[in-house]
Amino acid sequence: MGQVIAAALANLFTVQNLIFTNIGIFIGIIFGAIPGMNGNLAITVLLPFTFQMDTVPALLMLTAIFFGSNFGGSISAILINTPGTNAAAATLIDGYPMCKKGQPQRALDMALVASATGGLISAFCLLFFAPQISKIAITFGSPEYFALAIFGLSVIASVSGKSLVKGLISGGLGILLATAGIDSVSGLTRFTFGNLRLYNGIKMLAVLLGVYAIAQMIGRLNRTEEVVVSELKEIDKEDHITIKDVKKTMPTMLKSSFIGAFIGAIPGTGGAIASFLAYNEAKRCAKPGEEFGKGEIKGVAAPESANNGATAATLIPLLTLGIPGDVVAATLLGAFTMHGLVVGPKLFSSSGPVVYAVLIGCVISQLLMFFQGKYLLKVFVRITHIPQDLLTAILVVVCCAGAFAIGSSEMDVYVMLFFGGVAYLMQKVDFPPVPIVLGMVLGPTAEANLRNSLVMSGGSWSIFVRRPVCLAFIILTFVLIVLLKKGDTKQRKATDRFMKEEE
Amino acid sequence: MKYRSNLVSGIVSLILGIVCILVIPCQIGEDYSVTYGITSKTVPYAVAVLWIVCGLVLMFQSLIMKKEEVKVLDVRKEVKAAGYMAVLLAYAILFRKSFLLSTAFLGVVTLAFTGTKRKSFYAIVLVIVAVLYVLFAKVLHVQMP
Repeated sequence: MGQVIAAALANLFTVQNLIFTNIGIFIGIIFGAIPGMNGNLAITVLLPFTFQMDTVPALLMLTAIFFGSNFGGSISAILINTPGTNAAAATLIDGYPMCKKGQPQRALDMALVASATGGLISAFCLLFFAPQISKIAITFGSPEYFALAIFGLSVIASVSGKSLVKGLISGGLGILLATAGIDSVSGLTRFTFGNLRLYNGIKMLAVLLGVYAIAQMIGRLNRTEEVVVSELKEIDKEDHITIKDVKKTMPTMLKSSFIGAFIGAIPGTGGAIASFLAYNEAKRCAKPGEEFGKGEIKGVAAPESANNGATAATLIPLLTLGIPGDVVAATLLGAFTMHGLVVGPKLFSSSGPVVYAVLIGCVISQLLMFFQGKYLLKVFVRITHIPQDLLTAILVVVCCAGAFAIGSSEMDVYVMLFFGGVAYLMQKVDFPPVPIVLGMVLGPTAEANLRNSLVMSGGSWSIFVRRPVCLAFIILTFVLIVLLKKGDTKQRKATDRFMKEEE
Repeated sequence: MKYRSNLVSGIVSLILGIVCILVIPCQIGEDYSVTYGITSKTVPYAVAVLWIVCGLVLMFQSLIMKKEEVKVLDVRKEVKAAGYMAVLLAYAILFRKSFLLSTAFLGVVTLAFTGTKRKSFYAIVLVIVAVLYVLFAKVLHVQMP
């Protein structure tokens, strides 16, 4: 263990890693701050460019984008009352009123401190809990992996938006896409339509680029409204965070960070749910004189600690069980796989030094994010002024180059463009895109392990209920579906109520 | 133009499911190994059945339960989107010939679609395409078309 950590530290502390982590945070904050963009889009667009990089700096950069984007979302929430990311939706309830009261810098400073606190706690949770869970998970066999994959697919219940049925249809599409190519068990070809290029299957990243980037860009062509971000006022000596503010909000930040870390570790949840829960909790514990909804500083601290508290914790089920808890985790799963790491129970034993380097890097990323936020905030605010039309054109060409770089094949570009068009049409009838990714990632795992399990049991399906861990996952799947649907409805109601109040 | 989201989704899902069931026998061969009931066709068939069932549920929700969201299709906007998809198709054809020219074309047309008239933006996009080409072809040694 000591040797692994030593190797990880040697892997981690290099100038190259420091530079790429900083670049990741910088890009993440910008993408998070621009309404309509998000960290997932940034990770997807940049992923093909990391193929030529070493594994550790590539993964550090991609995870740093994830962390940075969560903080970046609060910038537009506070300054223009538009959350840059879903997770920042609760931040604007008090952040924007603070801005209107002439305290934008104080609100942004608070968001930064809270984000860094939440992120640090979350990263430590990931660092300490992930290896322990992994030790238990390493004993899993095919039936457990099958049950795990089904458990992961149950996340569709929470990412389906208004209609679970439409989520299932999207999930089915993902599963079907993953079957294209040569079947690894039987050696038969599936859905190749006589095209040799399809024998290797459809690359997930090409689909991701199409579904998340190209479809979004087609939609953006019709946007006419200008997004105007308020400039930060010239140095107002009164408008900054004080030690008193930090002391006052520290208990709220700590509590919210742990709420975030706990929620984040549950597949299918994520920063948005965590931030609303933490906000409600802070409001419930409000002291006399604290007016939530009217520019209360704790109203910024609570959701920001929680949504960043959920970030690194989201990676716990991903790295230990191979279950992507949310869409960013699903994209990161693709990133880990493409860099040769097999996420799941064996990850820590097979790639210990690399994984520990990334985990410790997650802690360091939070510190770097704090310093970038502190010293470059004005730069970020200015960059969010980049005209949307220019940004759209740039992203389209970057995506095309990126798609080709996946495997030096035109086929990946065609796949990306095709699924861009398909996803755009799917948006028109509210088909959620996230289940496609979940289906593509977990479908093959479920299929292969189901077949292996049945070979193990001689065709008896009772193997799935005879093994306790397997049975536990099956029960958990049902519990999770019920809880996720309940939680999702609650969160949607809370958001609707807030939007009505705003109107 | 108005349309019913659930009904349209239901019909599309039903058609896709049926097409899938028809296509599977031509696209996946017979499995002669020991399969215990799970062959290479099982998962695709399961997805097809799922689509048919989900399609019927959505149609039921729309027509019988009247659980429906009526959406408005802005034809002018959609014509623009369809035009852009045609551009993407043209790009896919041109891409084989030359990455540099086709991607420059795509960048310029994308900007034109957004309605921008600032020449500097066009110049920026062209420079970025050139930089990407150099980066991939010369620095990363990717063989570009």
